[in-house]
This record gives sequence, C-alpha cells and structure tokens, in this order.
Amino acid sequence: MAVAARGTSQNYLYRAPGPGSGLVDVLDVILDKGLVIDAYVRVSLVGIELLTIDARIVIASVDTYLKFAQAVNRLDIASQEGGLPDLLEGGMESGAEGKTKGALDGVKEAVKGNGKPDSDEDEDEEQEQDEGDESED
Amino acid sequence: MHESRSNSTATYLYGIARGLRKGLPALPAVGDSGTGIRAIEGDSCLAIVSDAPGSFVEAAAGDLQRHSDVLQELLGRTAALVPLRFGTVYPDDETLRRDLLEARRDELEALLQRVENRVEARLKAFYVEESVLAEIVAEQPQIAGLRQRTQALPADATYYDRIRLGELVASALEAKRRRDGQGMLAHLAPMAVDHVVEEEPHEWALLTASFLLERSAVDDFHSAVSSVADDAEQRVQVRCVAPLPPYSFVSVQLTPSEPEAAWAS
Repeated sequence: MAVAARGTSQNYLYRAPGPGSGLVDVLDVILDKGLVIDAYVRVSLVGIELLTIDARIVIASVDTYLKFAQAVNRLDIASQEGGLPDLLEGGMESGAEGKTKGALDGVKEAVKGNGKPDSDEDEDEEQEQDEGDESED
Repeated sequence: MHESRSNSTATYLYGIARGLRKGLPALPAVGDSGTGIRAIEGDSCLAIVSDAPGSFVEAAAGDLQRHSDVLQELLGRTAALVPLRFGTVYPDDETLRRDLLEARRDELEALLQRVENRVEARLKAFYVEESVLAEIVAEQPQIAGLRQRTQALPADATYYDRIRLGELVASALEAKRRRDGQGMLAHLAPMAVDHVVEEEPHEWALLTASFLLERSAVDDFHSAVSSVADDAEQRVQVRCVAPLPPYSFVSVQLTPSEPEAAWAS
C-alpha cells in the first residue's frame, strides 16, 4: 500500500492514492458515492452494502451504552495520566486504520459469501483488528 | 438473469471524462475480462468503459480495486472526470451512447463543468479511544462517580447504572464530536469549493467529510489538515486521501425517461 506520511503532525497521515493502493480509506466513497444512472444494472453487491452499514455503530442503543460503559470502566486512569504517550506509540496503525479496516474485512467476507456476521462477532472483530491480515487482493 | 440478449458481452462504465491527455490507462478491467479500457466518444465528452461478461453480476473485492484504480489513473489524465458509482453496466456501447451520452447530455455537461480541474479530498478524523474517555471522566464528575460505583460492584448489580453511564459517555462524546468537528470544518471548509459531512458516524469518529478542491489547492489543503491535526494533539488521529476523483460531488441519480427495465434485472 502506498502510504506516505507527509505533514508535520505525528497524528496526521496523508495518502496520495494510486493504482494498487489500498481501498481502506476510500471504500465508502466507491460504494456509496459517484454518479448513479437509474435503470441500468448495478453489479450485485447487496451483501457488501449491508455489511458496510452493519459496521456502523448506532449511537443511541442500550448495547452501545453498555459498550461505552465497558470501555470507560476498563480504562486505567492512573496509567493514563502517567503514560499517555505510550498508548499512542502505535500511532496511525492502531487508530483510524483499525476502524476502517474492519469494514474492508467485512467486504472480503461478503465476497466470499460468508454472509453477514452477527453483532457479537462484530465486537470480537473490532478487538482483533490489529492482528488482522493486512493483505488486500 | 435475463437471457433475452443474444450478445455475450456488456459495457461496464467507469466515468465520463473530458480533456483526455496521454491516452487511456493500460490497467486491468472490472470483471477481469482481459480486454482493455476504452472510450466511447460523445459530442463533447468520453465515456470510459471496458467489456464485461454479459452474465457478470457478482463482483469480487478485486473489482472494487480495479474500478478505483482506473478512475484514479484517469484523474491525472483528464481535465474533468465524473466518476460513476461502482457497478454500472450497459447492455452495449450503442445503448450507452444513445441513452446516456446523447439523452443526458445537458446533465453530464453540468456535472463536467462542476468538477473541471477539481478533485476530492476525503478526510477521516477519529478520537483515540483511551484519551477521549479519560478526558470525559476527568471533565464530568457524574461520569467519574458512576464509573467508580459500577467498577466496585458485580456486573449483575449495576445493569441500569452501566446503561446510564454509557448514555452519559455517549452524550459527552457527541458534544465533543460536534464541537471539535465544527472547529475542524471552520478551518478547512473555506479552502474548498464545497464539502459534505457524513451523517452516520462510526463509534469513535470525530469527523468524516469530503471536500471538493481546486487541483491547485491540494497542497495547501494538506498543510491545513496537518495544522488542524496539530491543534487536536494526540487525542485525535487524522487521515486524509487526496486527490481522489470527485465521487462525493456527483452523487446524483439520473433517471431515464424510458427505463429499460426489461434488461435491468
């Protein structure tokens, strides 16, 4: 993947896209945007579209609240105050990329015909993302 | 699938272009048909297409990549490019020429003018979960209190407290998201011709937005994003991809006057 960090900020990743570069950051625009001409066949992608929507978290639900509660409860505030920079050494890879990679993995599953995962699997996937396979087609 | 058409190939459409320089890209086509990328000429624009198998209805992930790659490469070779949404297939070249290039000429012209010499920048900003949660606990005594109570007691005994805690955290996060997101937009939007913000955020998303930029403004835009990321410090991760074909600024639906419903399955 042609990833080029440019800019002064450690927390900013700029990528100039090119052929063969990953879809991680642009998957949603390719699937959801662009000119649509009605009445002409769109290639069958129903499973993929469902999964990209499933990957979004509905903010106002009991499950989400419980998840937020769990997240805030497993925080180690003491070590936070002392060691914030340590948490961030993973930098870009552990943050934004992990979030979007989940959606791409979902697409790969859909393409393989595995159907949509249930919500429990979704949560597991999120926790395991960082160990996930980076390869992209 | 309909078997009514006798020919075995169809025409896959990537985008509408004007001002092509350096020829068409030699890249693999969607459907991996082994044939090249070609152009159908209209009066004042080109439809960029490739052959697709007539029975081609299911796409693989690689096809998304090929669609994206062709448009990305075209972006650097054209003065104006209107990207089609992934998956648009016409029964044949002649139908495409007649029903799109000729019948929708005025609409295509308006879109081409809108995106001429312009590109999209796609921005995604995420909170670093641990940092923003620590911030919220520190700022809100009620959250800190509930957190202590639910940590001290068994999970079964605190179900409603945990829901309340999560609700407060979600609400605090939403308030931060609104404030920080507007702050970022206030810096970046003036540099763009137009922008769109995604309505459905991911869990830790701060801002997901696309900006329509003059080509000449891309470098300055990156500097501005970098500066915004500086201001947000290590509590936020910012990613930006540009220049992209202006997918988010041509998201309109053209409805034909005479739908060919018989072919469109």
